[in-house]
Amino acid sequence: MKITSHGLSVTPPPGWDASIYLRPPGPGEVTRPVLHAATVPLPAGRGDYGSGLVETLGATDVFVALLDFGTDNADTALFASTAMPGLTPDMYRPKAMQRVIAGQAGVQRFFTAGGRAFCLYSVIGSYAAAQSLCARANQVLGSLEVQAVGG
Amino acid sequence: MVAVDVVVLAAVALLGFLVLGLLRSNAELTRAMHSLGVDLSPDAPAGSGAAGASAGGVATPVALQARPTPARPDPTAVPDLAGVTPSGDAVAIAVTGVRHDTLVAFLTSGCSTCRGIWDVLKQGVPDVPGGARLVVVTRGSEAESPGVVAGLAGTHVPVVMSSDVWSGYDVPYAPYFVYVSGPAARVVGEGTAATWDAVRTLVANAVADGTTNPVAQPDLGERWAKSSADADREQRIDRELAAAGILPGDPRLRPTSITQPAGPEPGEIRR
Repeated sequence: MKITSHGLSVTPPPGWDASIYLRPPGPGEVTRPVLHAATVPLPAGRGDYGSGLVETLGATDVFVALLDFGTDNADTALFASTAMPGLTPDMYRPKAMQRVIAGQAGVQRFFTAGGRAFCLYSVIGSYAAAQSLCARANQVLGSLEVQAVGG
Repeated sequence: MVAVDVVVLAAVALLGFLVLGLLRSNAELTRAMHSLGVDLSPDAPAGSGAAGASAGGVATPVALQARPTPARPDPTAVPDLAGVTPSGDAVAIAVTGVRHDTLVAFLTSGCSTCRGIWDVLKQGVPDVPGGARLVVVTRGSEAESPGVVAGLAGTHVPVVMSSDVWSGYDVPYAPYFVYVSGPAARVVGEGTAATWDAVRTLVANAVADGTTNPVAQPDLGERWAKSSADADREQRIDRELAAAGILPGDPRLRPTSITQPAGPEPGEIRR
């Protein structure tokens, strides 16, 4: 069930919802593609970093977001890493959440791929189950594809 | 002059054949719809089912019962909902291997009966008995105008535009509703109704009957009913397995060998 849009592709594993979207820009605003994948339904009014969604994560749930920061930021210091990061359980931290939620943990990594700068953000529903939930997040990351700029 | 007469006669005969063919195909279609409980005649009497009268289309709601179809003979062959949104974004919605149930509403922008249902969906997420997630599916952009669908749907209920999904569910007409049990990974009911109230009634009846909460069929040799604790435990295990991506029929559920751990288990003392 591979989906492709805005130069991004993902094949969500069974039981996952996924979406690749581009918010309509406001006046003078530039918006860029965002990819979301989660083991819970993706609510309509969620934020790019999962607000409105992470609150619904249960102890066995995972959320993954990939946010495009454009070509201008590619290869800058923050996005110097050129490899799509694989996640390990120890990367998840309760304080790495956009907003701390008891029991949950998050991770954020920056990298450049295909000439585009990206932020990877993931939240697991249970810090105590980081081992198994991290493996589920990596299932999704392993299916991500980024189309190179001009490619 | 004779040649003109011959041409006119041939044209009349050809038209006659075409009309006969159309009448025959219409009769076959009407018969098929009647067999499914749908009366398309505008002056048909109100249905006696749960939904009551119709508004110029589907008169009799069809009970939510699993319906084997040529394209989907197996109720566990349930495709997830992958396609694009009316705004052109990509979307994939899982209906199996999840803890919740999903009510899939197959609608078109052109059918007059669908119009009332679109109006309800545009006002907000309507209440679905049993708490199932509601998702609308239309045909893809080659058959539907994304702009028109966006205008009809509003922003409250997720909409997936995909002719592949439409074909995968072997949808006979619109509006059409398919109820999928996420934990059981199967279609547990499908049918049609003219109004959202009628849909609600059908789903409420199915929920009350337990149709939407299928449990494993007991073995013929099983003489006692399961305790509620056992049933709860089974459902919890099914949910956790599904959450881990292990669905019915997964070969990992029936390993051919079990590897024994080489060392002592945590907390185990070997002498």
